[in-house]
Amino acid sequence: MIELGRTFFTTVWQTKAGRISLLLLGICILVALLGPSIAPFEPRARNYDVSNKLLRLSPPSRNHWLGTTLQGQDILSQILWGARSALTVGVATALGVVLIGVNVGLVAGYYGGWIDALLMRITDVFLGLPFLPFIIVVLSITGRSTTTIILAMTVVMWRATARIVRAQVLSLKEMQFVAAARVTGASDLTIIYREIAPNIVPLALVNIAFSLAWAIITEASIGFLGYGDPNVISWGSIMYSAFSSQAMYRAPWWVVPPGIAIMVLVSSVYLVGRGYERIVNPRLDTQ
Amino acid sequence: MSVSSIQGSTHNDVADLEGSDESPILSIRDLHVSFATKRGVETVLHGASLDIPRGRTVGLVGESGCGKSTLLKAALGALAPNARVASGEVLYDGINLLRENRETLRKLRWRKISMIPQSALNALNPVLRISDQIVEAVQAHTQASDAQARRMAAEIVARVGIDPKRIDEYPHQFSGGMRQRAIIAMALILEPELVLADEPTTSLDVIVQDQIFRLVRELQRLLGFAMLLVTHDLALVIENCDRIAVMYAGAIVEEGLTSDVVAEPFHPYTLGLKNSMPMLGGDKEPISIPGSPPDPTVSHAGCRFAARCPFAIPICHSRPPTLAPVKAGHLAACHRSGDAHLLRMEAAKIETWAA
Amino acid sequence: MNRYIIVRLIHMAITLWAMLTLMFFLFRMLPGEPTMTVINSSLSPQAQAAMRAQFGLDRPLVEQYLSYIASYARFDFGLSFQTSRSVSEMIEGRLVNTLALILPSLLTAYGVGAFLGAKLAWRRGGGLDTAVVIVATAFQAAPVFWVGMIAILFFSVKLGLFPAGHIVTPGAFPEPTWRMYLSADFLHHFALPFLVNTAYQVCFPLLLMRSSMLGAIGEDYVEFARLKGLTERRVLYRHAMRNSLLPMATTIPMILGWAVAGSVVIETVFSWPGLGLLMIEGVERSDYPVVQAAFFLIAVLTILGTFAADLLYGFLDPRIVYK
Repeated sequence: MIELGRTFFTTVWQTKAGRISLLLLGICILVALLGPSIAPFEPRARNYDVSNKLLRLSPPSRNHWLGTTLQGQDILSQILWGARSALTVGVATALGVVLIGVNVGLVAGYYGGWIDALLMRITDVFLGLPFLPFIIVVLSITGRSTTTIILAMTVVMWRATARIVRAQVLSLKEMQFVAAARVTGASDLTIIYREIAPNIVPLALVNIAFSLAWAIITEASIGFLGYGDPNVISWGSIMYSAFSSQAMYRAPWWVVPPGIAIMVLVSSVYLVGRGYERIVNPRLDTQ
Repeated sequence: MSVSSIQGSTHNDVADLEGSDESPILSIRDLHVSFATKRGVETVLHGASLDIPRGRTVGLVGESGCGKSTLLKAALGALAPNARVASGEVLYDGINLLRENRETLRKLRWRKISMIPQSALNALNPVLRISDQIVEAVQAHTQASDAQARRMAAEIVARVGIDPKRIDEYPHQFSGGMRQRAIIAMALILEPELVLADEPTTSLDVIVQDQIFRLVRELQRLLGFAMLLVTHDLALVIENCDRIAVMYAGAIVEEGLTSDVVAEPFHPYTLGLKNSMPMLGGDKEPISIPGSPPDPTVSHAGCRFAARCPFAIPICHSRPPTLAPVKAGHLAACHRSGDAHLLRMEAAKIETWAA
Repeated sequence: MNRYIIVRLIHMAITLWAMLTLMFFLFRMLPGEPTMTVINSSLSPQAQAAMRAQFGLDRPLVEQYLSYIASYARFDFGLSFQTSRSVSEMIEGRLVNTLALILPSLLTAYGVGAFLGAKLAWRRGGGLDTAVVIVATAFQAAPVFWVGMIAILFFSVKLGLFPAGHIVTPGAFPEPTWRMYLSADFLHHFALPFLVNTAYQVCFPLLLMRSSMLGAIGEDYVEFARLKGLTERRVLYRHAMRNSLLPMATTIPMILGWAVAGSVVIETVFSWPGLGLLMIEGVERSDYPVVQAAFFLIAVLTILGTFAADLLYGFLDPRIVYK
């Protein structure tokens, strides 16, 4: 597992673009971990000025670098806290997605026949599910918490991974080493997990990166629609507050930072994924 | 315009070209080509010179990386955009291809000079029908209508042994041998004057290879085109080519009638090549040439083969030899060509080539 | 080819049926269902009875299921809990609104994106190329609703060029008619969401087309086409571009699904009365027939899109069909 992480890291480090995106990502992770500690204010605390007046919707100033919300809350602190939610939910979803997707893809691709057909039809159904509406409906049933959000997103996203993995397995299945393993009497499970799966790893890693990027944006969308975990500060929920209070029209400093934060995090994750993919899966495109 | 209109025309089998006053169809003179790469400037061609007489087949032999492909591209005026031509000319029928604009070159291609690539599978667009790909070649250079072009395609394809009803299929539906025949048909449909064949049968088995070359020889007799056959297989050249040119590290080191060069090679590299390819039925062990070709990013004074040559003398390392006649119609680039008869005897011994 | 189409049609039918079944069980689990406490008691007894009949809660499950499938097959979505109007009537206009926004922007985005991507690749490098790639990659990472908010802030609030939301000036068209869609008022309201959505969607096809063209250009058959003496134009369009369209076509179902499902957020930002917004409103009011119908239609659009994309792919790549 650590070996995996190390090879992934060194591979991406090779290109200039890869290095920059890894650095950016590193910074984001650092912010996520340290955020709450370095935030100047409590994210939900109302702030007052010297004459004890609530600092409603104040533009960026020396005390509040990114200004305050309609409730007088410090936006910078909220942004710093929000990184944590974005990454936790994102990583958990991405891992879940890849775990399920890879296994389904392996089984479907390897066994073929009716198992494959059945699994593929199931994935088709899930592919047809519109992701945001579905998540919202599910969250209405189960209630909104970080866990349910992660689960709902995972259910919706695994299908794409399964398809990709299955395609790869189909071509790997025909290769020499599989036939060799069969001849030596290896069981199906052994072949799937000892022989074929290791070859899927690069693909899976790339998939984790892209799933993570998608999950972060989706989590923000869920938050924006008002379905985020009410106990957690997330970038999406910041934008929800801004939008639903209708105050955003007077306060660009409320609206702009969360989006920029998302942009930076998602770009770096995506570029890291691309950096890895380009080396591991060389196509003929130049840069 | 159709192939059938020239049926019955025969080619004059002149075995001896000495004293021929016909100018060569293609003349590459002292061509220096280099490329800027990440590792530095790679000089791929060092003053390569080659003449291809009209209606004759010249075999170009050389190992991988000697610059054969670049030479071929130059012959089509199709060098990559990042190629730098330091000096030299490529004269097709007197026209310098390196000076002409894109449109002139485009018009020359296929009508006058065509190419049979190494891999038909790679050269053919997988999502277009074979017929479409032949027809577009025809229509790019003539005023033929769709129907006319299709007729021509059907005819030429039949001539190479493919069922004309199959031309509307896709490349992946043809077998390897058939694809190669299709590519040959495509190359000949406009009856060019020069055909460049880049290892056209490397990916095929020997029997199919033999069939293909029989086919090509017959078509050449009929249509009278000149051919440059690039290959690393000396045996193929002996069977199919009137003349042979031996290439090493970006330059032609020996050139002449195949029978002459094979019987009495002058250049040590040719001697080495001959050794490494014993004839079937003989009991001689193949002797390989030790060492490897020089680094194209490094420039050498002197002969580029000198480092590996068992017969090198001091001048070989300081002054590059020029490609000069050693007999009538036979050229070699070696300072020691005068001692050739001695070198030939030494070359036959294994100890000479010990690393 | 026909066989291919028929197989795809069967797949689509199965998927739709499976989707309906999944929805059946899913919506039974929504809070407040089936206790009917959410039914507006001001509904007439006939309406209540009709509702009960449609959901048939006192009948065995199998019967409920069958009548549910039957009515949905007829596009009869029952009555709204909130307004007691026919859901089908309500939803018609909303469907049109969603399509009116999504389809033009997707088509434009793909058209422009593919064209620009191909042009960039053919030029092969340069400052413009790098700049475009960086901007497109970064832009893709921004959530579309955020871009919408910024656009409203800038173009609407600050510059006053466009209205901040809605489909027409409220009250201008009490009943939506086709004339409304052709009015200047509509276009004025349409412009900003259309531009935002298109700008957002264009990044992906642009980058994809660019990279697959770069790949295609490096292919032997493109070079060979040039050696055959074809014009640069022909090489570009018939060989390089045609083969690059394949990877593009395979992404269309993914993007379509994304766009339709994601229309929820765009509609929210711009208060655009489409299917997505209807669904969200329905959930908030616990108006389940509406939610269910909206969800179903969105899913149908997605599945239809996948089907269309499969057909397109089969048309473009003969290797698939002749498998």
